[in-house]
Amino acid sequence: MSRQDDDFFVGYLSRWPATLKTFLPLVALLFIAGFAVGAIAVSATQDDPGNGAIQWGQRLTERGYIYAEPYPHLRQAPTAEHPQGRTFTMVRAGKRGVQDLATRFDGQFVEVLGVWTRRGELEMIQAGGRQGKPAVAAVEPDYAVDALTVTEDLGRWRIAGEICDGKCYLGAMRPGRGLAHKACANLCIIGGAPAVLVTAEPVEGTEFLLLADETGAPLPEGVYDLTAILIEAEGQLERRGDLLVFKIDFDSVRRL
Amino acid sequence: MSVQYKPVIWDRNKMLYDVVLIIAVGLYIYLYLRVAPMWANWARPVDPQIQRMRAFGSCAFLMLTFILCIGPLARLDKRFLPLLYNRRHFGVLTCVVAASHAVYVLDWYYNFSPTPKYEALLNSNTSFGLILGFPFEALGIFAFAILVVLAVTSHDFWLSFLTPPVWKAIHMSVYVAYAAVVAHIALGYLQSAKNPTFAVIAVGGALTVVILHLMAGRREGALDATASDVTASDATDWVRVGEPFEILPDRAKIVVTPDGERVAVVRHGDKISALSNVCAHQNGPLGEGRVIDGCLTCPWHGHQFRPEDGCAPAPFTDKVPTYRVKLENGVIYVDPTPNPKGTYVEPVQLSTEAAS
Ligand code: FES
Repeated sequence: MSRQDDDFFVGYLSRWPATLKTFLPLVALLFIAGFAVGAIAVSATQDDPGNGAIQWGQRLTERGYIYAEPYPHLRQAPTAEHPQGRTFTMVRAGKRGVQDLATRFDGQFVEVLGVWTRRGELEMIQAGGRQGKPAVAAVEPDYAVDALTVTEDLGRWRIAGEICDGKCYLGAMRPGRGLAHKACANLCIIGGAPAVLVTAEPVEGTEFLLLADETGAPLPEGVYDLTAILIEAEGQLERRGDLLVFKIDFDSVRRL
Repeated sequence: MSVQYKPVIWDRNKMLYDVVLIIAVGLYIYLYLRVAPMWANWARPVDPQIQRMRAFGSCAFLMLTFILCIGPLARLDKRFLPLLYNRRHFGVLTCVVAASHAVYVLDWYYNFSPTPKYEALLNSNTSFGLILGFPFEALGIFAFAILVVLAVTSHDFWLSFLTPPVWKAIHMSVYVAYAAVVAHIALGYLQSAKNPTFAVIAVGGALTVVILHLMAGRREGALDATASDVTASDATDWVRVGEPFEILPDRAKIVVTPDGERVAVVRHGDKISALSNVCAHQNGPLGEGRVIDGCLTCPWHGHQFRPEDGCAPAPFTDKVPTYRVKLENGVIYVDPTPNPKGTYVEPVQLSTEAAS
């Protein structure tokens, strides 16, 4: 029996037929090379997730007026650096909101401790107490509430974009938007992170609108079916300091 | 082929196979996570956790794609048969890589939430009525569950416990898993990625699997068609095989009975016998094997069967059905009715009869 010079391979016999002696190493080499090239091609071409990030080293102590609705945020009076005032949306660490504290201190002047999260001009505080100090505490106001820029009604708009959770979009996750991230976005909004609209085209100079229902309250549960996809909504656009709030007519939302 | 089941049986070829697999997978993950990001064009890197999800997820997809190509490749070109030999280790490794992908997803997208992880997995997205926005994770979980069942039952213990037909049927569900994986990718990552590289690879991979199967299917169909010509035999019910020396020494010729059963007609030494073409191990094409040490040896994993009685040599106990053979007017015929597995059939003796 001429086992060696035949082209028949038997796995448990160590000897390879002559025809396979170059073929199999070649296949192995091409297989490994194919995986290597694939890894580089796929990895090096991942989309840019943007510059948003939690600034882990940067602990903030910020003072201003806190509001619970539609989602917790802190507003500061205009300064030379922030002529329209400065607004921080607010969350806690993880996928948790700060609604309880914001509701307790709603409309009061407070001091907030936390970690800074930022994407370009957009800012958020991940509130958390430290060294025995609470995350949010009412303090003697530095200025009267009138010092905040007045809320301005920008009229009725129809705007297209993607509903995201404000925390991940600002950089808690990179990337923090898109369908692959949808379940996470829902979990964040369920937990209390702000629902935001990242607009397809810039609106009044920004692509980031804090969402509310028509009455200015948080969006209803139906929002979970509308996150992470391109939608269009109609509603009243409102400027609060440097933040735009889009109070949508929830029934007008349609998928594009 | 073992009578005692050891957890894993290795031989030199299996080890080489596994080494190549581990190098390919290790290199993929290393290059994906450590090297290629240097060339990525981004303001800040993608989260390391998300990079890991992507690395392991895309690697598992490529592995499964390759696994599904091995079968048709081996049918189209016999030189690929050795890739079949240890395919189960390939499958188990794919399952492990897919599990790593799942763990990274669970510990990142579903973590840090007041909702417990596994509960979140089930109820954070319930848009089952949508196409865009469909909880594509469910497709991934479904595919992964199949891979786990296949990996767990990949051992020969399960093969004999479940019997080869049941085992084979279960293992065909790998195609269902692959379809679910393709949908998982198409409705998930590909919907959020702007760069088309992975889309091209994913679509190209899936198309390769489909095309190779179609090509191999055509070849099989052609084989069946030629074989059925052979069945148009004389006035007898017996299937005409051809002249004895058309069958190469130590090889077999495959014929198809009117019932569509394939029979391997083996020339071993100066004798001719007929066996079922379906290997008792995993339904491999016995008739494409060759005679080694007097036994017809399956080209897939090398299980052996004696041509006279279809029994594996001791200590093994596998058996396949045999068929009666006869030589008439210099032509070999096979009785299309199979004998019970392991039935001895007197072979046709060539030296005396063929000479006459
Ligand atoms: S199918 Fe495995 S040896 Fe035949």
